[in-house]
Amino acid sequence: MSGCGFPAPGAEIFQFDAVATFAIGGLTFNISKVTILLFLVSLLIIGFFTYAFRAPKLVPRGAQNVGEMGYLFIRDGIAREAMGKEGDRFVPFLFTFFFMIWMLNFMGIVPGAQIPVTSIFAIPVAFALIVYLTWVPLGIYRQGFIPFFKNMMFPPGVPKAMYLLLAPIEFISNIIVRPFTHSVRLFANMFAGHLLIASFSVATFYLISASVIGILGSVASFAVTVALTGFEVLIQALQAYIFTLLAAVYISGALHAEH
Amino acid sequence: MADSAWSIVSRIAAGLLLYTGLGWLLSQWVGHGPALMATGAIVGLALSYYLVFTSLNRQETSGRKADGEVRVP
Repeated sequence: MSGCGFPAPGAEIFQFDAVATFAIGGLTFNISKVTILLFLVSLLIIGFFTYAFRAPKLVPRGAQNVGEMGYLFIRDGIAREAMGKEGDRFVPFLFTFFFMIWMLNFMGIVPGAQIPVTSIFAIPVAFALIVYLTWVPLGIYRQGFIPFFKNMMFPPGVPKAMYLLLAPIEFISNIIVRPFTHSVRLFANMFAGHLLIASFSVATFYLISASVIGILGSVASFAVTVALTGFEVLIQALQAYIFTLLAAVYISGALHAEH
Repeated sequence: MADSAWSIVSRIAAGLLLYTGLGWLLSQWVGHGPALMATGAIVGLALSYYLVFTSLNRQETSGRKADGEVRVP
């Protein structure tokens, strides 16, 4: 659509040129802004929590206090909520996911970075695959191969004849659709949020002109940008929480058969 | 629980995908155009709803029993 010539941001704002390229054993690696941010966030999280727990005190202060609050939130709010006492073993796993995803999302509103790293589809897919490759083997290990699939595919309280029709649905919904929705939920939320902020930021500059309507339009767009940024802060934490909570629920389902 | 909300989505998606696909395969074989595919979609949706309702019913019943409430038949 060519009309007013509004340069609406599209999928190209999620594509970055490689700043360095190298090959190891026939595989080509591209280092782009996204890769750099990924490593930077990893280092930041490792650095912060190493610093927070470098010399733990009985009465926590400062960074240790923040670190313990994060730990207790994951343990009591997510792991124990989904799995009970047994969830304590999975706290490090869930803790890493929550803070990694939260900070990667947060990069969307950090000046200079300004890209939620999780809006690059490969990254949520990789995270969802790690969760998937955790709960499926765990379920097979804990329940046994046949009982794991039997518990998954044959929900109780259904007439026997219906199983022929329903078991394939349960199989597909758990084994195929579940990892897909797990990754798409995070990706789509961050992608859409970033696109919205980008659109209104562009509109702020595009609409500005020396007329009443121009100033009004520009100011309104700017106000919406600010409001959306605030909203995005909430969504970033919420999506990290939902991803981690669902990972905990999937692991919980693998540990015990659902009744 | 958050999972029961998301499991509704994935069950409906799975049921639709599976039975629409089966309907399409059947129409390729028998040759009734899109009629069988549409039938498959409706059947899949119905089965998904059935699955969602039974599993939610079961969760609610077991939840009430856990709370010590007596269920009126």
